[in-house]
Amino acid sequence: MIKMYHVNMSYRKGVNTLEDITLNIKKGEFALLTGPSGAGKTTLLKLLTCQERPDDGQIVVNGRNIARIKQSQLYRHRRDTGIVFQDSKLLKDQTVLDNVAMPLEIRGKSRKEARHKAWNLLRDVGLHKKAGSYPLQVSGGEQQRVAIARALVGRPSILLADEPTGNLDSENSEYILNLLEAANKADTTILVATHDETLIRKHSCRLLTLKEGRMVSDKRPLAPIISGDDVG
Amino acid sequence: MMLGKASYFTVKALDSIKGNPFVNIITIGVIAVSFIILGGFIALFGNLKSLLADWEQRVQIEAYLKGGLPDSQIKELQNLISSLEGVGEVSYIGKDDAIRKFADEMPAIAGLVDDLDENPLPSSIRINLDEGHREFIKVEALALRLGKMPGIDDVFYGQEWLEKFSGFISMLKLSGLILGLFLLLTTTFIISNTIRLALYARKEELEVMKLLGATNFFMKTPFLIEGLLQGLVGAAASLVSLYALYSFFVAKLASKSSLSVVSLSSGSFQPAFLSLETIFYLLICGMALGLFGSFVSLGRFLKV
Repeated sequence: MIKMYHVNMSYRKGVNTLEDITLNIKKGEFALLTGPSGAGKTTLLKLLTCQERPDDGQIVVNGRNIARIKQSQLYRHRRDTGIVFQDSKLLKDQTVLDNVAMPLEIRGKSRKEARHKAWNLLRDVGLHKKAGSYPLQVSGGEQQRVAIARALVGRPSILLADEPTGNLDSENSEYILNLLEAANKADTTILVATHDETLIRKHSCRLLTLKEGRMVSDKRPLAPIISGDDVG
Repeated sequence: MMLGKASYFTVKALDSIKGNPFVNIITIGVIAVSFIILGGFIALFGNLKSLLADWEQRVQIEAYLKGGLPDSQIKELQNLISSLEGVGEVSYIGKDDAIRKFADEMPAIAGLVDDLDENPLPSSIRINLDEGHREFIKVEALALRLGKMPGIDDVFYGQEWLEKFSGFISMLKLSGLILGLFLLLTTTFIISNTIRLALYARKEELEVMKLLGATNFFMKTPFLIEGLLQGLVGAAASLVSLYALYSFFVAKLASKSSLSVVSLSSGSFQPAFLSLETIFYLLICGMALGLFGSFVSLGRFLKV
């Protein structure tokens, strides 16, 4: 589903932001990508959404080599890939409903159909009552739920999320992770960049760790660590 | 599906216009002013051409005869002129008829005629022309030929006025073309800048749309429609203003009919507004300019 072979990427000549990254995420997997700030998590996600291009190496997503994808073909790849940004990137002058409906309108669905599907998804994330609100009228956690709904509305095979809980309290973070897990159960491959230690500890899934642009560990799912407080 | 997309793009374009009302009003205003000047030139040019055509319909050549020509030679000349190609009715105006006509046409100075010892006006042959032979070039050629005939002293067909008038029309055509070109370039530049402002205002939205899988066509089309609408509304506004100006001038001319072009022409000429065909082309031109202006901005902006 997502394959990277010996990928190098640098913003400045001679300074590698990502170095020799090789990974393979299978269809239906849920993986967390972690590491300290500046480790290259966001850059790796940007490579997967073609916001950046690698200096060398191959990136194959859904059988498509996106490292050298033509500009005119980018939209096909992006329609197969849902994206959730840390700052949600919702359009402030559009309602929550219109924000979620947008990917469907982009795909050529009628406004009516797009809004209908968007409303259903908002109901799934518990925000249908705020469909007519504008993004700045809802809380940060709710904004991220809207962003997840927007990323999922086009039924992408892959969902990439960059620090989706970065600005949220633990309760909202938990809610967001639960939504992502629900999407994963519906067969969406998920890769989440996060440095939220609590989430990493609580959720048992594949854990990829980046450090100074290198993939330093790739741990397969483990049983969640149960702290003393959680017992009994 | 196509209809749905078209309505989506149009709604987006209208939203963008509503989002920047001031900039859009200024742009539409500038387009309108440009098209008023352009349309005004076309209307003026068209009317002057009609005036010239009207004159050509009524053109007559006056061939003044040398003094003391015997009647037989005058008759011979008349026959000769009548046989020329394009010549219609030919009539002889004797010296006495000429002075009587002069006195009739200029009553204010008719008294002077009585004080003259001798009739200074020459006799002449008035030549009407057949249809299809009344254009300036043909009239000029015939007049030149007449002037070389023995017994003819001078030929008059309003050539001086006509030459100046034709020259003025040619100059107007040239300056209209240059000005039109300049205005079209200016208009394109202004539309292109307005679209660029709209693009910057929606930069974030466009970036997000692109990441969500929007094609360039999907992102560009609303801006192209926006430019097209600006061009169309600007051109339409100019036509409404031009019509108001035209009505105003026609009313003014009618009230001052003694000085009007209408009375000067004293023919069938009536000042006319732009033809439906010209109106159609001006509207198309407005839309095409708007489209082109947008296209110029989009080409640079969405290359990223």
